[in-house]
Amino acid sequence: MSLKLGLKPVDRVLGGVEERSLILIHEADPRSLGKFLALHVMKEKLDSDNLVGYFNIGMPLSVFLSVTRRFGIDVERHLKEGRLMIVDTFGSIYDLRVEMENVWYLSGPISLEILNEKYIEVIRTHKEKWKQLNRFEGRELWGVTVSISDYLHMFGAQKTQRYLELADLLRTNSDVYRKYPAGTNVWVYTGNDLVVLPLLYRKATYVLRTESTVTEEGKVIRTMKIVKAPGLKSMPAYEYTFRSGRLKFP
Amino acid sequence: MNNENRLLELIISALSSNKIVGIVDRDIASFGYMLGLKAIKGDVERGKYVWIVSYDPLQSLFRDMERVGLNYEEHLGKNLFIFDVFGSIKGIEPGMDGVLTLKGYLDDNVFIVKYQKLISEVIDSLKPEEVTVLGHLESGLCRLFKNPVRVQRKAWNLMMEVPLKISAVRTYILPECPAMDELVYFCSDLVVEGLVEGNRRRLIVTKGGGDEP
Repeated sequence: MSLKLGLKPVDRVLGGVEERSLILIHEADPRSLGKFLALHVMKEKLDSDNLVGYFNIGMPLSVFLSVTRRFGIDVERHLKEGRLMIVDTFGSIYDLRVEMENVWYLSGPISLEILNEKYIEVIRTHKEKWKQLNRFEGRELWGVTVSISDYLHMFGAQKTQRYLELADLLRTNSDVYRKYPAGTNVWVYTGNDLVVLPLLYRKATYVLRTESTVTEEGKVIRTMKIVKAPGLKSMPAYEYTFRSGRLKFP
Repeated sequence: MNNENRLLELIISALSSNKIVGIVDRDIASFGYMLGLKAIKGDVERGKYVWIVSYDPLQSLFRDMERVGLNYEEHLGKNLFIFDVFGSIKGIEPGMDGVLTLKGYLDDNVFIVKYQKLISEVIDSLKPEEVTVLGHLESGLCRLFKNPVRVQRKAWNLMMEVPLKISAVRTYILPECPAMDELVYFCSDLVVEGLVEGNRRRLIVTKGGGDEP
């Protein structure tokens, strides 16, 4: 079954994305504002009453809340109304907690070796909650992670690479993805390292790369290139802009 | 009005509405960071509370302030305060009114804890309602800390949690400390970049000029 992603060219050209697939948004340079594509997907899904798990990796949650507020996502309301849950990795590791309903912190000391188990624990608890409240019925389930590349700043490239390889295996074996519905995931990765990024390019079902250039006249041009998608032979690129702070594809 | 003055006005107007501004130099010869000092000059002269968090050696900062015609000596310790991160890490005692440093042992984590304490003390003693903050050459984080990205994010978090009206401009020389621009682009309302192309120096608005979030 395919789902609308909420990014126009992907929905138009590919007819959406496969349910339970992994969509990698590779923000090749931060000026391209690729993270806002992921936030746009999240906004669309929440506004149409679907379920979203947001995985905050390396930003203080206060920063995320301030950015999303300005981007027009009513995080507080979606948390309160139970369609959004947040796992705050940064706050868990550095003990910077924002006490809000449906915001989860990982317990105890955290290292990359046990991080995946801790995620699974929290996901299981929250999915059980959604199940009890009968929230899965008729709703799409999405996971949005910003950003996988933050692990590199927190733990180093080699360790991150090993973590992602192992997490893949552990998640396949965990009952939490069989007992409860599994989501469609959007991961953001910033930068161009050659240790972790190639692995993600292979792992993902879809790769959308965002880049920016500056013209002679000093104008910034932002493009999203569909680098990988099932059955796609070429790599079409699409310009996007922001109008009144909202993402626009012409 | 020339381009630089137009940008300066844009930055000053963003600051006056409590926005976050980032200035990113892509070249060591683009000197866009000087706009940060020019932008706070008016606030300093009008007696508004201005806090410069400096990651550059104090004497370099004083030189740059003189270059933009900012008479800092007149305001230092009254409404202008310099938090000397460089001096704190290097253990240099400035011995000047209005220049604050952290004492004792410092590493990435201890720095954040002591910095948070210092911010609270300053707020308690001055009781300001509104502060303009200049993060002067935050790219200096790379030569002062083991994990500059982590320190940058935690330091921003502190500023966001301060119970005051804050407008902030932060400056970076990217070749000195790559990867700093990720947070700048994610969080700032307005970003200006300094570039050098051939023999031309350019300053352009790269976020916030065309309705970006």
